[in-house]
Amino acid sequence: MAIAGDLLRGNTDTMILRFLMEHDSYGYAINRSIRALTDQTYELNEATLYTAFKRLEKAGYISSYWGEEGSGARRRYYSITEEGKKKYQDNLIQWDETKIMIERLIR
Amino acid sequence: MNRIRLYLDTIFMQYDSTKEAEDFHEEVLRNCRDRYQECLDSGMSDEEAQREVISHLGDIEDVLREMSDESARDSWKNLARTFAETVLTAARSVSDLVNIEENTQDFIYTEISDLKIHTKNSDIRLNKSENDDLRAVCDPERFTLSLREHCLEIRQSDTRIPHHTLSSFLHESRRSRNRIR
Repeated sequence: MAIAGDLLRGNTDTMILRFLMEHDSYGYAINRSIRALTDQTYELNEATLYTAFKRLEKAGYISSYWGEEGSGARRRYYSITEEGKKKYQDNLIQWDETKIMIERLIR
Repeated sequence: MNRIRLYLDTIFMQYDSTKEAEDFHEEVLRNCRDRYQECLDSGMSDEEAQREVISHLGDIEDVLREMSDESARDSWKNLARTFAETVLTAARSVSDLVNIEENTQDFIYTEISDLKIHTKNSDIRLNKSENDDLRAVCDPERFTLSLREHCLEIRQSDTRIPHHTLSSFLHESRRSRNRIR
């Protein structure tokens, strides 16, 4: 499958919000879900993932906390805030409108 | 997994170990360990798993660079605020020496994120005094303070005023502040 990386990357934040809408999660688990939904063809690298988390947290759409793991490096969990839920809905509406517009413009 | 840990250590040790960078390090390391384990579970060799993990890092150095730029900007902002507070307090107490523009009279220090000092003869210096205060040392001249878009500007004017220096009014202000306390 040929995929447009730029288009996907432009929606990184919404993807993350989508998974956090379901429940709190951490970077690798979100990536696993993305891989599963794209037949193993797409996922985010560590740098992209972290930058997106930072951006969303700074904007107040998500918050984070460290998990209590038995040994070794801890997992950092993220949860969506009320503002984040609103942002997610807004992004969906925006996407629906954009999708239609792009269709009209390129076909 | 050791090679991955070493690889990450080598990258991270090149950057300031701020709290943020350390958190990033721990988070990435944990994600790498999860991926590494999953690779082994799927039948990859140790060698293949490590290569796979490292290939999924992306440009983490770019993230670290951005982080350290940001922390440099923050330090500058704090410096500008501290300095502005000192200068403004001083200026208010020695108002015959310093001309404060109207919009600059009642500003809040947290509005400030930058500092510019204009001098005629570029001999103004910022010195740290023994008790860690910042001091501006320069020729005795008249100054104008103004606030423009979060930047406090200190402009040296042409008129020379003898026997006074900016550092002397800083001193004066400290005395008057102590009196208030």
